Amino acid sequence: MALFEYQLDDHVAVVTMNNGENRFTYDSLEAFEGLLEEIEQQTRATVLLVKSAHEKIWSNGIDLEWLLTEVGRDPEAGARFPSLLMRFLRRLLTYPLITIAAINGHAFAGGAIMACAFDFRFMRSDRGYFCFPEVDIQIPFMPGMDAILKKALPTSLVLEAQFTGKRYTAAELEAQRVVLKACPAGDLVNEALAFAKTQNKTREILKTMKGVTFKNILRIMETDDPAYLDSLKGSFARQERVGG
Amino acid sequence: MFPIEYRLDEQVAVVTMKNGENRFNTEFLEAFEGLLDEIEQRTEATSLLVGSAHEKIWSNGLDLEWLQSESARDPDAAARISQRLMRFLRRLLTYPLITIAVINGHAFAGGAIVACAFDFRFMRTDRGYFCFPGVDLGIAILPSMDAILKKALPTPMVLEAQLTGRRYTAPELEARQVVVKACPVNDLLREALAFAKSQNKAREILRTLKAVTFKNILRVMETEDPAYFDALKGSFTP
Repeated sequence: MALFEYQLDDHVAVVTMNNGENRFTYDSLEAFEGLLEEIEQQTRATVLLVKSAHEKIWSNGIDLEWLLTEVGRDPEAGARFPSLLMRFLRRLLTYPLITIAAINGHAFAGGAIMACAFDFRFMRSDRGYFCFPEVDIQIPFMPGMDAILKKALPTSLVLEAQFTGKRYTAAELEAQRVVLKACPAGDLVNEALAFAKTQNKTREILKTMKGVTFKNILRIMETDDPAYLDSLKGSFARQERVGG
Repeated sequence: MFPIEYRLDEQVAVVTMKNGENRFNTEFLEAFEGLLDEIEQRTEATSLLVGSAHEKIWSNGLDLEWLQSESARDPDAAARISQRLMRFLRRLLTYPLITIAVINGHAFAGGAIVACAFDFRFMRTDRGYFCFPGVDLGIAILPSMDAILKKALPTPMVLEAQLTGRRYTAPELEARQVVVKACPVNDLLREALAFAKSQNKAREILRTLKAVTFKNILRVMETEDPAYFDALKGSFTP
């Protein structure tokens, strides 16, 4: 089974993440980007809708276990992997289609950041949390990630989400308008799809508008992230040494 | 008839736009700015309140029909009017009075952007939408207009309003705190005026506060917009 699959429903490309907890590795990011490329090049879809095949989890973010092993072999991976993740987030952010996350399970850490990089979110109400546990596992955000959070969350939520690591339910996020709609699992994809079908904008105008409104996030990714990544080099390796 | 007029009610300058759908062309913007100058220099008003004389429309934004005929004569007309509109938005944004849009009808496209450049908004509940239809018309907004939207709309609404072109009603905007209050049309002016009268701040402090809080928008106007004006040259040309 492919890590990612899609089917077309009118002008909507419905993507299913088939990768277990949908944690990010080199392979998964490459496969996801490949699929985005294929949809852009080989279809005329104007909306991208992304759900998970997992029963309880939309995405749990970076595959930390894998990353630690990887860094053990190659200390540079501690900086290289985040830089690939940022490239992926940039691709999602500037994708010339309306992008919708159908969050049908937990979105944790990098998974929640990825959800914020979508234009719109729908979320399952009966199960699943949206949470940034970074403060508790002591992994900082890259400046570009912080900027992505700030475009998806109302100002008053940004610090609470980052500093407390609070787990938000779909209903809470709907009240804060972080998700357009909270729906029971059985209705989620249909609701998101119904919304997607009402949106059929040209790729050209979407590309232009996103270029303007995300300009500052893209600037941060270009100028602030690289400096930050330099400071990360070898950091996971150091942690391992400290941890014994 | 003059396209825009004002009267004083205590410290409030009550402006009425009387230019039909209040679409922006060079002439209307000149008249509007002239009135802003006059109010600033010849009165001691500390609040500016702007409504429309039109029964259904507050402002429908750029005068596209006028722009098309202008563009036939001058290929740079779109760039020129955009630049002119930005100068007007900057004037409104930095105006040293509390500014209140009394949205007593539709605010579409540039009309909705101008509404966002005011400090506060009151809007009629029984009729009228607030909408950015640019995504469906294929017209993108300039960086500073995006920045103006971001200061008036709650963060999650910025993308929804821009990318979907959704039409918002006054109660929806009140729930999102984009408008201070949604009121039936007959109470709208009275409510906005009552709020305006409760605000009697010194122009000097307003000028300073606005320069600080809008510094980033003004920076975007200066550094990022010009590249887009250049790109607009020759557009709209038949």
